[in-house]
Amino acid sequence: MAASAGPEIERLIALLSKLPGLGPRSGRRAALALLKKRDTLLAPLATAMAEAQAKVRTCGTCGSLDVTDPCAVCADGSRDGRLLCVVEEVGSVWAMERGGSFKGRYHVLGGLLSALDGIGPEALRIGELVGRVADGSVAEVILALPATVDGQTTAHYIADRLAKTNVPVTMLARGVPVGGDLDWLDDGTIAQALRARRPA
Amino acid sequence: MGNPRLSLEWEDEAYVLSARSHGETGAIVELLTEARGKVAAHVAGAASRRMKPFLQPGARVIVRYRAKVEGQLGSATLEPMGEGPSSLFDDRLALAGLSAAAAVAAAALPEREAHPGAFHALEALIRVLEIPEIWPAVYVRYEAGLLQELGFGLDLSKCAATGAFDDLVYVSPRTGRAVSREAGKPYHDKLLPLPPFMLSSQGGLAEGDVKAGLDITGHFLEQFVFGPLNRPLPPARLWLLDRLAEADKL
Repeated sequence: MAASAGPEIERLIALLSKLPGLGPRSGRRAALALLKKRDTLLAPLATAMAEAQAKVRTCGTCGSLDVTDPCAVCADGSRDGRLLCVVEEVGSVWAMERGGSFKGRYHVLGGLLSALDGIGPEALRIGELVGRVADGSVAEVILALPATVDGQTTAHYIADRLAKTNVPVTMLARGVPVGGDLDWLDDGTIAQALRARRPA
Repeated sequence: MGNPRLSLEWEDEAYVLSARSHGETGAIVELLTEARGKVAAHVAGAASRRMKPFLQPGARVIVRYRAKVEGQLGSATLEPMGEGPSSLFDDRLALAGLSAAAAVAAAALPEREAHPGAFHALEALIRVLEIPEIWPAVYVRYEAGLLQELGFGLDLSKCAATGAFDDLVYVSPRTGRAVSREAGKPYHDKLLPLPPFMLSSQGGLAEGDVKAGLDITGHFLEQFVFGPLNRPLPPARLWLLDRLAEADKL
């Protein structure tokens, strides 16, 4: 441990150690790097973090994070509001936006139904989703949820809840990833890909 | 070789019952093996793209387990066997059945106590989950099998009151023993209806039979297994009943 460091440095190390990907050792290394570059790294980082803490909020429409409410995606008039993509967490929105292939809007559930952990529909933003779809402006709901037991259970539950709205509900395809070598794929993915095969 | 349950290093086949994240990349995984019963282990790298597909309830795996001290949490490496639960992803009811079966086993079975019957019952259920006409009845038999393994088996061989072998249509909610129609008549509203399929696989399935079966196994799971542990039935089982009711399968 940083026995010779003052309490301020110890606290910095302890907080950095709690970040994803960091532990006590790497937290110490990160703290040292920041302290060595106080003007060029530590000060801007502290400012950025303070600004994020003060300004970032949860979008009241989709549940994503941004500095405005509604968020930039919800407020962007050029996006196709008839397409609504349902995702588990904000990280999934960022993943979809990285690709840039989806031009519709999002709805963040804030988790998945989990039979094991007893997480029910009331703990997720499913009621808000049904409200958004029921207002008539959505033409298709795309469920972009994990291909896991919990993810697919959630997808089926949402499809059931939305059945009365008569809005088509689709799911992302499952199968061979781009650049995927069959040799490295698990049996489940290969079987799913076979079932979802299409004319060449 | 000695008692297999107490070995500090072993390899076996198992079903994954649950997997909970532990740290950033690992998971604590509950497994059901034939020879060692329910075993928990730390699995490193569980968050990796390679391992996530089979760290799902119902996935069959080869486990290589290692522990330093008997009784402490060991670590394990897992290799998948076959497709696993992804074959059920398009079947909402079967997914609910699988989740409930895994959750009930995870909550009801004690750790490191061999229950080969529970392993085989889960195996039999998973094999038929793709056949919607029969799996709800097999699920009931699975729970009855769990009760049997835990020492609270139903005795449906003859009437508890008269010893008769025929016309068994009730189960006593106190003892879990069958009661014939005639002997049960005065206590009709206090006894649990016994569906024919629980007596014989040739019994056929009528409307209400699955619900009657689930009522019986649910009653005794609550009374003998979860009640003494001061725990309710797992939510997954309640959800299964809801899903079956919505689909008109009870």
